[in-house]
Amino acid sequence: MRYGAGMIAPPSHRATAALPSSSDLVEDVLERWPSTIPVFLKHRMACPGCPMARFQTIAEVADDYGLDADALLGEFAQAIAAEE
Amino acid sequence: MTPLAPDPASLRGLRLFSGLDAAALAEIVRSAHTRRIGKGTTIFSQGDRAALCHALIDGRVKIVQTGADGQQLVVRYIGAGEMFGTAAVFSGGIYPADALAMVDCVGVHWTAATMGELMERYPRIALNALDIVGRRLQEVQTRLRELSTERVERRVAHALLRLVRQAGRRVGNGVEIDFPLSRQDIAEMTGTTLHTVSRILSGWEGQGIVEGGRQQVTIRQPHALVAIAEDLPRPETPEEK
Repeated sequence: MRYGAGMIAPPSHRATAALPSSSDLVEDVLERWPSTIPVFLKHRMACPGCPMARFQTIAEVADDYGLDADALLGEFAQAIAAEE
Repeated sequence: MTPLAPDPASLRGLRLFSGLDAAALAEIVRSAHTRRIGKGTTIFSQGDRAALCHALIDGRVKIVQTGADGQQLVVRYIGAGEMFGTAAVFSGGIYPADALAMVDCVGVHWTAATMGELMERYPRIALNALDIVGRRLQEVQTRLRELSTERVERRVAHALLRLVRQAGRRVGNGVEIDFPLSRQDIAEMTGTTLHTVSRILSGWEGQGIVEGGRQQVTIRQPHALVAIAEDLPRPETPEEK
């Protein structure tokens, strides 16, 4: 994938981080940790499959849906742990 | 329309040729014609005999269909790495729409006979073509549903999201659609009038959801646009006047 001027490059820790963080792009989280998808759906978030997912961070979408980002990250961690 | 030296690397992004080895790609490039296409050029016209399969290496092309009543509909936008005019070639008929270069482009094309021979030699190309046509058909079905069932506001939101998927670019204050796009273009994409699109976009600008220059659209509140398109509960916007 090409990153044009002004686009956000993938976070450098992406390959090594064990869990999603609030600054990760939503699409990266969905791709790397598919077990988080039910968490998005449970909160009636439209992120899976959304064309904006590659431009928005977890912190931004948590805010959009009026959710606490840390609580959401906690639920992601639980879902990922249950998977492993 | 200056001919260019063929470059196998230019075909790498094309889904039609994915999964082929370097020797096959080299042969495909040798049988292709590459050229520069100036902004505003009509690459083919609605009603012309479909004689060439086209692919875009760089630039942007608009596929526009004109109805019997003269009403224009933007069928789709073509970006780098996409094929166009190909389905018409294999249905043995005429191009169903015009293809217009929106910016200076680099394009590549094959005659129908050459593409047929390549497909017989490399069945992978035919399988890839089926995949491309299948996806297009799904898009068309989605659009048909939008046109027949959705309020025009949702249709405009969906049109912008489709363009974001194809040509979105993160900028400081939101997500920009990275090519010239007029309100008339949006009207032609959504089967509505310029007046209606202007009213909807002005409303969204007033709410701070989008920001439009004369030929540019930036989505300032991505989630608010998604909420309109998907009929989600509308987010709280305390800054809304």
